[in-house]
Order: sequence, then C-alpha cells, then structure tokens
Amino acid sequence: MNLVLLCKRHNHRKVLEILAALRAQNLPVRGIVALERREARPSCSAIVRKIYYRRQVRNTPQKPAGLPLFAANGKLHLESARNGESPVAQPSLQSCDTYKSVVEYARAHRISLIAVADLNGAECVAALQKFQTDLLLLGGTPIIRAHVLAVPKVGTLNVHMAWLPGIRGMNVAEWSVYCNAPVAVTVHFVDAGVDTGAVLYRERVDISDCRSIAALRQKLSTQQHVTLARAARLFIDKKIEPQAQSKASGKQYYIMHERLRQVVERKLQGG
Amino acid sequence: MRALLKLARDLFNAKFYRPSHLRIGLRDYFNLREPQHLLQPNAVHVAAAMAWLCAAHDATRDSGVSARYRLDRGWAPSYPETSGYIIPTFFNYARKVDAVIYHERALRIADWLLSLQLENGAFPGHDVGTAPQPIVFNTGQVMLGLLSAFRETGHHKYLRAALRAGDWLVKIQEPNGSWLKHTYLNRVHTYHTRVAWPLLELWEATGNEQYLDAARKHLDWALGNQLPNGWFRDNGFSDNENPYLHTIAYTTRGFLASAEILRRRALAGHERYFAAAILASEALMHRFEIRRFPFAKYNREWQSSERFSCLTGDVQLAKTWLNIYQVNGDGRFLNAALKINDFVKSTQDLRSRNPGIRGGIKGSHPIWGRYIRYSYPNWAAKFFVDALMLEDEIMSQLDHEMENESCTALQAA
Repeated sequence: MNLVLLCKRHNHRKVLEILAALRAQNLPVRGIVALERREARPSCSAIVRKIYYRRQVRNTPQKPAGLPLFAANGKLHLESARNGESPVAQPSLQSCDTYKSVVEYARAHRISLIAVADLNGAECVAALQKFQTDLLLLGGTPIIRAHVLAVPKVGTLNVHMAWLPGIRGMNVAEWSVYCNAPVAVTVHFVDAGVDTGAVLYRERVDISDCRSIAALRQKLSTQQHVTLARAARLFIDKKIEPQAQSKASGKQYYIMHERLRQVVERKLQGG
Repeated sequence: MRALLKLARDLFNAKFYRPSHLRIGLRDYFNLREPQHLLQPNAVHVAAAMAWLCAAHDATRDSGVSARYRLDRGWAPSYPETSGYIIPTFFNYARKVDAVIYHERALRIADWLLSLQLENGAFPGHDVGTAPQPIVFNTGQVMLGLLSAFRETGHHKYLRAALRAGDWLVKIQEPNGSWLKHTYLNRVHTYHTRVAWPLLELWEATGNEQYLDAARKHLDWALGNQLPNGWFRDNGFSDNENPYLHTIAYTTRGFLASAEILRRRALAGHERYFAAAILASEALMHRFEIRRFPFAKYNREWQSSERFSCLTGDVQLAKTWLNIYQVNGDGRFLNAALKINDFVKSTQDLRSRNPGIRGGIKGSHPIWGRYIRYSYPNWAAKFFVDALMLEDEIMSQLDHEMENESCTALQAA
C-alpha cells in the first residue's frame, strides 16, 4: 500500500515525528507532499500596523498575556508562531532528533518530496497521483478540499487531539479538559466535514501528570503521532475497521479565548 | 473621478479635518485596533462607556439621552426609544458601582418619557423634534424602561404609563399576532419579539392575561418566520433587505427574555422560544468563529456580502450568547461572547479628547460602514455596557466555581 504524507514543509518537528513513528511501525512512506511556505510582501497597511503595535507594546507596562486572538489581519499570530512552532518544549522521538529538516530526512531515507504552493491546488493533486497514493496521512494541514481527498484510493487519515465524535474542531485538548470530557487522541478518515469522518482508532490519554496546557499539549502531541502510525499499521493489517460517526453526536469547538484557557490551566493545576 | 469627489465630500462633511475625527479615520483605515493582550479590564471600558452615556444625557436640553454623536453635527436630540431601554442599564450600573447618581439619571429619563406619552398610550418614534408618530417597537422599548423604573421605585406612575402603552399594543395587534399598523415603514417585523417581552413583563407585574396572550400570539407568529437554518424572515428594516445583526439580535433577545419569563412562571411553550433563539445564535456563532469577524448583515444562507461590522449588533449578540450560556452551560457560547466583546473593546477609543468619541461605540467598524455611518449611537454604548457587565458576572461566577472545586480537591487530598 502506497503511503503518502501531506504536510507543511516548514513544520519540521511534527512531520519528523510522524515519519519516525511510521518507521517504528515498519510503514514505508512512498512520498511526501509539502506546502512551500512563501512570505507575502507586506502591504503598506501592514507596515503601519506593525509600527503602531510595536509602539503600543512599548508604551504599555504589562507583559503580553498570550497570543492575541484578534490581531488585526492575523499578522501577530503568524509572528508569534514564526518564533518557534509553539511555546511548548517539543517532545523527542529518538530517530527524528538526528534530522534538522524534512528535506534532510527525505534525502537520507530516499523518500520523494514534492513541494507545492497550495495543498488544495492542481499541483498537489498531480503529486498525489504521481505517487499512486493509496492511503494519505495528514501531518498538520489546513482543511483539505474534496477534490484532493478524492485522489487516494483507500482514503485519508488524520489524527485528532480529542475523543471523536464528542469534541471536534480546534483547541480540542483544552476543550476536553474544560468540558470534563475524556482526554484522548482519535485517528479518523477525513471527509468533507470538519472531523466528521469515520473513526478508525481511539486511545485515551492519562493526563494526571499534566499541570499546564503546555504539558498537556506536549503529551498529546507525542501520543498522536504514535497513535496515527499504530492505527495505520492495524488498518493495513486489517485488524481494525472504520466506524461511521453521527454528526449530531458531537459539537464543533473553536480557538479558546485566553480567559477560558486560564480556567483550563487552573483545572489542570488542581489535578 | 465622481467616486473620489463623493469621498472627498463625505470626508469634508464628517469634518475629518478635526484632529479627533482624523484620528478615528486613520485608526479605522489602517485597522489599528488594540491587540487583545493590551486591552484594559472590562471595568475600564464600561466606565468609559458610562461616562459617554452620561455625556449624551447631559448634551440634550430635555432629560432624554442624545440619540448619537455625529461627526458632522455633534450631539443629536434625545431619542425616546433608546432612552427607554437605557434606563435599566443605568440602574444596573448604579448597583454595580454603588453610585446613586446613575439611579437618579435613570429616574430623570423615566420621568421625561412619561411626559412624551401620546393620548392613545403609545410612545413616539424617531428623535424628539420631529412630529410625534406612535410606533409599536419604540413603545415596547420605552415600556422596558418604565417597568424597570417601577420595579426599582415602586412608583405606580411608571406602571400606569406602561399599562396604557400595553393596552394600545394589544388593541392594534393583528389577528395573526403580528403588528402591522404604526410600525417602521408600515410593515411587519419579526424583531417585534422585543415588544412581546415588555408585554410579558407587564403581565408579570399586573397578572392581566391579555398581555400574556398578546405576547404569546406574537412569539408564535415570529416562530413561523424562522427558517430551518435559524434565519428569520421579515427581520430587516425594509422589504427585501437582509437584516442587520442588530435586528437579528433584537429578535433572539426577545425570544430569550420571553422564554425566561415563561420558564420562571412554569408556563409551557418556553422551550420552543429558547430553541428558536439558540438555533439562530448558534448559526451566527459558527459564522463568526470561522470568519473571525462579525459582519453587519446576513442573508437567508447566513452569508454576508458586507465588509464592515455593526458594533451594536455585535455586543447585542454577545449578550445573547452569554444568556444562552447561562441557560445551557455550553462553553462555546461563552467563548464566542468573550471574543466578540474583545473585538468591540478594541474599537473603543479611550484616549480621544473629544467627549463625543471618548468611550463611545461607533455604529459601524470602520466608521464609514453603512450602519449609522460616521456616528456613535447611544444604543451601541448601552448594549456594550450590558454585555461587559454580564461577562464579568459570569466570569467571576466561573472563578468562584473553580475555587470551590480546588478547595474540594484539596480537602479530598
């Protein structure tokens, strides 16, 4: 079965971890299709905003409490993300630590890597067709459209940081804690909806040792790559079957507001 | 060329050559809103908005609240409708900060409104100064203020005026439950659910069932205007106009407040009204979260072709979401309300030297958006204060629950 990984090229850490987990399960990857990050030229308005915000930050004594949700046009979000993948210390999977980038890993393991400008574009479809993709694995991508999902013969797998179908959407690890729901990772097939595809495999995660959101996300992040690889192995060996989920049995969540994140932090601190 | 000339004329008319106006124009043009982590605590924003409301109150010759601060003409005359529903905001703030001055202001507005009541019991639409025309919606909103003044003081003059207004509303109601005569542009409006609400309050205060029947008749009619996706027909100001978030939020608030009264009195049917409000509000929540911007108008598919925000509608919606959270505990509504409140906070100018701008909330963001263009309406500041005060109440309750949980965990350990 031809396994292909679809990812953002600059998201090295996450992709390397997935590749290492797949290797540990003895699952060879046929190819990697990666989004090439291109820096947009800042507009005049963006430059004015940058200067204004710098001035505001300088004139305000308090320290930033977290990522701004409403950073005008999202620029501040990007900048914060650019400084590092996340503020969390990243997990280590031994075999991925030796490589600095996905390109390096691909070269060392003779995996074809195709960089595309748009993961939903014709270029991406052509790359997936070239690899004769049977099973596509998503490694932290934006929403993938139906015409791309239609290419793999078997389907597309994604791993989700919560128990499906209960908690769909974004910041789901935090929402699981907020809602007192079981904390888990779920591997599911991807369909046109958001986290509504058939569930393949779920694993509960013990978070009793997590005392902060950072620790929680770190633990789940490590776990999810291992679970994705495990689920892929079990599915290829025909040991597990996907189960359709009912749309009505879950809710879609979105980015959690800083004040609710503080509630979650306190919940985690309280054990 | 013609468009450029029009723009130049608009900018000149709105006096953008004045430093305080130019500052707003530049801020909006470059979208220079305060980033979330630099926003002040709610209390600071609420205090600024209340100071603005007081300035609007003091700006008129009568005891009403000026309808809006217009960049071109300054403070407008008093507006009875919104002065009416500003009364409970003044009462609530007086209690919150324990300052009798706001209580006194509320009563001054209520007494002024009594002097405006028409022979037939209705209250006039539009700003004062125009020929008084009885209008259904405005009458309902004034009733909300009078009934809150009655609850606060126990003075029967407010109740008597509300009764006369209620009788008029019952008298002119259509057999199907809608109001058609004496309405804005002489058409039915689904947002009259916000008229059913004061009728239910009147029923609560008097026990007279004719108000209950009229309110339920209207709410049932309005339910019939809801599409399966939650959107309401006949909810705009005029025919074939997509509704502003402002009127959508009026409708949902009317349903929610009415349902709450019926639930409190253990009357059947309140679930349907709750469900109607939640259906529309949830659809809006998804739109807002996905687009990360609250657009001003929505068509029957919940899509928007507008590129500006109706700030009044935003904070009204925030309040509705917070009310829904109080009913069903769904954290997604609280989350969305926190974000949309932050968005509106980020548009409030706390530093302007112009008292018509400082602390006020614009009609549209950017200020040249089509809803109450180049103006700071009083109802935007009122709903902003309401939404932030409710947010604070809910968050402190949540903090309290967390503390209790921690204590229980510690004791168990």
